[in-house]
Amino acid sequence: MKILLATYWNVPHLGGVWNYMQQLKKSLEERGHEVDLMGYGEENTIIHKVNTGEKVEKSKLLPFLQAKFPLYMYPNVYTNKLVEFSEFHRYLFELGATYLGLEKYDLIHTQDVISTASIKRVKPQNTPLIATLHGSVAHEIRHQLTTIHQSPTSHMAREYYDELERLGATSSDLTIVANHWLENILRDEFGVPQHQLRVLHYGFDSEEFIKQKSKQSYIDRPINKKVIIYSGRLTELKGVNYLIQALANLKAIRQDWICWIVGTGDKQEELQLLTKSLNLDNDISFLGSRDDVPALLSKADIYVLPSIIENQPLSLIEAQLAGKPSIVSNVGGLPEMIENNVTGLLVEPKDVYGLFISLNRLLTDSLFAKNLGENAKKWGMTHWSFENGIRNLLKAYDEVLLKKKTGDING
Amino acid sequence: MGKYTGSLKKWYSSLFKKNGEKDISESIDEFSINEVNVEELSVNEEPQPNIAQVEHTYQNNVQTNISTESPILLYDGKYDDLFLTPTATIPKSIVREELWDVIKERLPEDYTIPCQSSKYLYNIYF
Repeated sequence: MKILLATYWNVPHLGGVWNYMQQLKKSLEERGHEVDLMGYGEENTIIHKVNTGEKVEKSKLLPFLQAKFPLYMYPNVYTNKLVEFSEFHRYLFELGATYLGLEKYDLIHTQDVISTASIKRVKPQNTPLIATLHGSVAHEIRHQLTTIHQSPTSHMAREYYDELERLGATSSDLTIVANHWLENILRDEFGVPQHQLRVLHYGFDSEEFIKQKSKQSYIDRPINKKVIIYSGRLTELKGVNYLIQALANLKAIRQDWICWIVGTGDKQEELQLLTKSLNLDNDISFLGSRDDVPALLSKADIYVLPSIIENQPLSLIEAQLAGKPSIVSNVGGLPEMIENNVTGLLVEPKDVYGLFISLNRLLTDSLFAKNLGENAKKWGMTHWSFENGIRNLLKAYDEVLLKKKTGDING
Repeated sequence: MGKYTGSLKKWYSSLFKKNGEKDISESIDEFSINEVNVEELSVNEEPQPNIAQVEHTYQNNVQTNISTESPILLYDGKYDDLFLTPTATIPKSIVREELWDVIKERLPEDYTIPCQSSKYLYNIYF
């Protein structure tokens, strides 16, 4: 089969979606399929197929689109900048995907609601469309509308994204989610029919991870100090500021630890200032974006994920496969990944004191921490098996292909 | 997902970039005052034309310019069936026909911008 994996996000990027797309491509190609990867690129300036190099520049489509989408005709679109951004990008994605060509694919597998809603409008009618949703865009936006995107017209963006979530999740022949948390949101809040939803764990290439883990990293852990690690984007929704505040409390009672913060993001500078203001400069290291995360994880003792909203983060999967005890927020899909006191510790989001107590507990009770890590690894190696994940996904492909074929025959 | 909304500012800024020029979204030039050194001003000794003469000359120049300049080519409505918005006055130069021809050929027949089924999105206030 010729398969297109498509996303509205910028690719390549450092994050779970891109990682998943790459792993899936590799795995599908090993099974004899041909796979193309498409998405926005170069900071939203192009729509491209990453593996073929084909691209269309946004700047060549935008002027005419703007002229045909004027303010005087659609004033509400221009009232809220987030809505304006999304509407233009959505149509540009449709036009770009059309230009790059969709007719040659036997199946299209999108990775978010926006690309799903877009592709649905421009693909050949009989081409099966499967969506894997890696989170709730509407829920994330709702949070951001109270913070970074707050404006007098925030309610418009909220309604818009709610509708886009519903539209995207119902535009596919089958919508795959990683956990029951997201399944419940889509069904109960956005009215997606249950028969259209399927909970399938992505799977993770653990062999590749183990290979990467054994690679050398030039960052050494200090002698006589334990390493607490956070790995992920430095954005507001990741809640790293709460971790830093908890570490300030921890420092007041013990100094037998350091913390590595791995990743970049729009909150990096703010987090570094917070670190400095709490006099933690010598205790917390910002390591930036790195390609040796598996090796760093193997050197660490405790993994922390203090997110405010979360779906199924790759970094936690990696920490589990590395056999590390985790402290994570009790939000989104995380409680389905961590059994409290068995494979890790759950803490309420934004609970600085809870994080502090949990960190202190794992630093104090090494045996308990070791057991959590071992349990997490055992569970993770089975649960995140990429073979199982791909097998289930291929079954879903076959099912949708058959449904389409039968539909065609029945006219 | 933060990467999506995070790039809003860059995207918005890019709307105002033409052919790689600098961002003109915030480049409203203030009227500059040309400071002229009084000493450099020369006194024109020659007789000055009166207002009527100046206006006459100006009118002649305008007439000449209109008759010799070629008109701006306008978009001919070639892709209007893709849009709900009626034909507007759009310079042909901004329509990249080499792209839109391919796109038009490949799009489904019922395709429109905006999307028919979500038109109400644009009427949130109504």
